Amino acid sequence: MTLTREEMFQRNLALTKKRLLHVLRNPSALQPIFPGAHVINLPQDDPELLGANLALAMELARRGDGRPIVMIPEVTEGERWREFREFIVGKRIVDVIPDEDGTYLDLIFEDETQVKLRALAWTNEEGEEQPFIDWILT
Amino acid sequence: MGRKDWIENLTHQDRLRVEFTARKGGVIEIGLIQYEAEIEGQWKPLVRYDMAHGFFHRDILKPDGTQEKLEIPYTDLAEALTTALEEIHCQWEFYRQAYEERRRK
Repeated sequence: MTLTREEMFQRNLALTKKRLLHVLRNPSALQPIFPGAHVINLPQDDPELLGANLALAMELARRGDGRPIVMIPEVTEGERWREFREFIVGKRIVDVIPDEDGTYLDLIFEDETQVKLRALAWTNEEGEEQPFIDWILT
Repeated sequence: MGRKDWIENLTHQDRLRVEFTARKGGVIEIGLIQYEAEIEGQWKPLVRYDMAHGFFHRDILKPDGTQEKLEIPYTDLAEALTTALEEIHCQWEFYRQAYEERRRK
């Protein structure tokens, strides 16, 4: 499913609000943002928004205005997600490309490290499908 | 830490320009929260929230360069930020449509 403009706007605005309120209390969270940068949200459990935001990052990397591009993972408490946040925050993105078999999208950083991202789902005890984001740091 | 500005990308046609001033203990000023939309291939600022002139206020920006200014009372920065983002959440389409209508006149 492709998000509408309104859905993408509202979901990103909610993540931005959460992060900016966090920044007010923790100004060190500003340090990884390059002056004048493009910031793109990286949600923890919203595969649709993840896909839309990766497409946005790809467009900015290829046809942008030369400003640095950074993706900032959602502020959450999970230990594994925290490790992911620490790896990715403060790194300048130079490209976003699908990998060879189309399983992952690769975020390519200026320091030549990469993150492979994909959306998955698991079924909880109530039989409900729960989306989550899977990644590999390289 | 000083002043820092950046762009929060919301969609391919919508973004927020943000500027905060921070010291060691925390953010001390919201320099700017500005909603911008891409209209006919150009990024246009439609509504701006800032603390210039010594008070927190909203400026609705018009195509002819004039502004509608409204003071917004607040008790702390979190409330000011929340008010600005809640207004943008509710009014962003109105701001864009109003700008486009004024542009056509």
